[in-house]
Amino acid sequence: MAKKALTQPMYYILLSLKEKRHGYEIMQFIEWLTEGRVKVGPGTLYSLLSRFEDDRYIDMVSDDDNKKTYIITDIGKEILDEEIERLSQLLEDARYVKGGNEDEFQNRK
Amino acid sequence: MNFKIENNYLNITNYPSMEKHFEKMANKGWLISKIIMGSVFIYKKIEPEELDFSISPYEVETSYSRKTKEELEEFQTVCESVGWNYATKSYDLHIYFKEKGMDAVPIQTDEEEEFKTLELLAKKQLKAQYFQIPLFILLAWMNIGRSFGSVYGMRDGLTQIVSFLISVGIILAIINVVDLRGFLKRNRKNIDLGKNIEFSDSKYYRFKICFILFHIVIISFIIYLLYSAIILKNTILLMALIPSLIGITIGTLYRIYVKPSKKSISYKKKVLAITLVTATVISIWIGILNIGVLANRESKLNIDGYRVLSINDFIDTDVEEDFRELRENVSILISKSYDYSSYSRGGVVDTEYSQALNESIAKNLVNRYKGEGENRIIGRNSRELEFMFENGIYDSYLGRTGLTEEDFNNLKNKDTKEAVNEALEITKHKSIVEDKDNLWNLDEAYFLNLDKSEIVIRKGKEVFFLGGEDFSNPEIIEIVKDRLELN
Repeated sequence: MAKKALTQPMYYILLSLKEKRHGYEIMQFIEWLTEGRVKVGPGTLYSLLSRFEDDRYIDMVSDDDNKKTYIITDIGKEILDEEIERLSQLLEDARYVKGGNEDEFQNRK
Repeated sequence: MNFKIENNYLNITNYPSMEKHFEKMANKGWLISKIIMGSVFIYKKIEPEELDFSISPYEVETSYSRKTKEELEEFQTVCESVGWNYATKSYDLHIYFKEKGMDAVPIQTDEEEEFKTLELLAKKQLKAQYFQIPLFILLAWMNIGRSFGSVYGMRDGLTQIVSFLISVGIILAIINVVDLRGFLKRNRKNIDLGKNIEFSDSKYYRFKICFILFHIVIISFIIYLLYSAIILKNTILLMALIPSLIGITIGTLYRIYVKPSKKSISYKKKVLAITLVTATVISIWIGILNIGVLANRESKLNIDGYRVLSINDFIDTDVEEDFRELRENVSILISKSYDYSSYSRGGVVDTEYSQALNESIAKNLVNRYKGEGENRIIGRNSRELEFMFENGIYDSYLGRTGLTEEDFNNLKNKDTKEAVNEALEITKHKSIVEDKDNLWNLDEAYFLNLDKSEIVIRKGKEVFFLGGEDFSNPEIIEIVKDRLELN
């Protein structure tokens, strides 16, 4: 069975943890990166951080002033890279079709 | 009043409709400030305001982990940073509010992720219910079964309260399981099809009624405990609660110190297992200790004001009672009751006094004593009768059950089971007899065994069970009636 794709918030949270960040920073980073297109609410964020920590996709690196700081692990990086690869293929397919190459399908014999 | 209490229901299946409800309440000047057991809502008075509410699932506790105070504060701080003010929480549902129209990032921004959290919470609740329902059924079998037919069930308040509690508990648990399973089934499909989560907008009257009953029973339970402990000085009941208190204390220590720690799950599983075993062992040990303490209890009882029999009422010279025991109780149907046993080397005399709420209940209690008398006859004689019929022997033992040699000969050629049942009927018929000669001159009087050393008597709404003397002897009857103020 094929691996299930990451949801949009999962993808952006893992992406934002290439650097050490705490919860609020992650939200701000995602908003900045997507120019406000994607917003991750605190409920979604903290539920996912708990799950990622349990699955060892991320590690907590510090816990100062009631702010936990996380970073992505090697397992998390692998998952993220696979997702980036999957998304690239999706994009490539879309560009191919939009580029008017569909005729090749009709002439494939 | 600066606060308002409401009976309502909040769970993962209906929180969007509760958000609207809280908005309406804020419009009327009431802000939700605390929720107890998901059903008692406490509001504080505010200036009427137009507020938006957001209830967000965020798992706080599992069997092996629990969010620390700092973790919850961090979550709260981040919610506040994006414009939401914390109101309160109910289990794993966190309630926030903001001014209507104010721009703020929603607390939940992805329905698929929100549903995953809800799924975890629903599974957790279901697991708890699957564990609770068999326990409730076991307790129901132990408590409700004995409430319906027995003397104890009618006279013991705790049994009656616990029976109600269990009944309501079972109904609540079953409704909750059906509700949660329906919610999960419906929404797994919705999420797979990319649709929105479908919440219930039901008024949940079933839950609300059950919760009202549940709270009434809990309050009755507390009142009963306090009344029994303080007024009736029922130390046995309090001692019986010690194992529960130990269990709760050990469980609470596990929640506070082990769950939030950074230790591995396997470590926590081991600690949980040790915790459960320790709580069980201590509870059993305390239970045994209780029995020991009670068995050795020789208290200086003051029985003035109690209508009970003493061994000294039936002998010429006063003897020191080796052991005396007085137990008081109160129940919904029997407003006052006490049992007294007076022991000495000369024998034992028992008194059970009950004051029923009305005569009809008192009559019912008499019938229960008769029923238990029959059960005792069956319990004492079944095996011996079976042995005698299997071997075709009639001996003196059977004579003591009231079965004559003629009765035995009439039955011995029948199938053993049939013969035993018919013999028991004869024994019951001869043992449990009404005071036809009106020796007692009361509303009701039934001897409960062949030698008439057990009797149940009723005068109005008062019922006495007596044991230990020949209660068909006019002299004894006179002493008893005088002592028990039945003249």
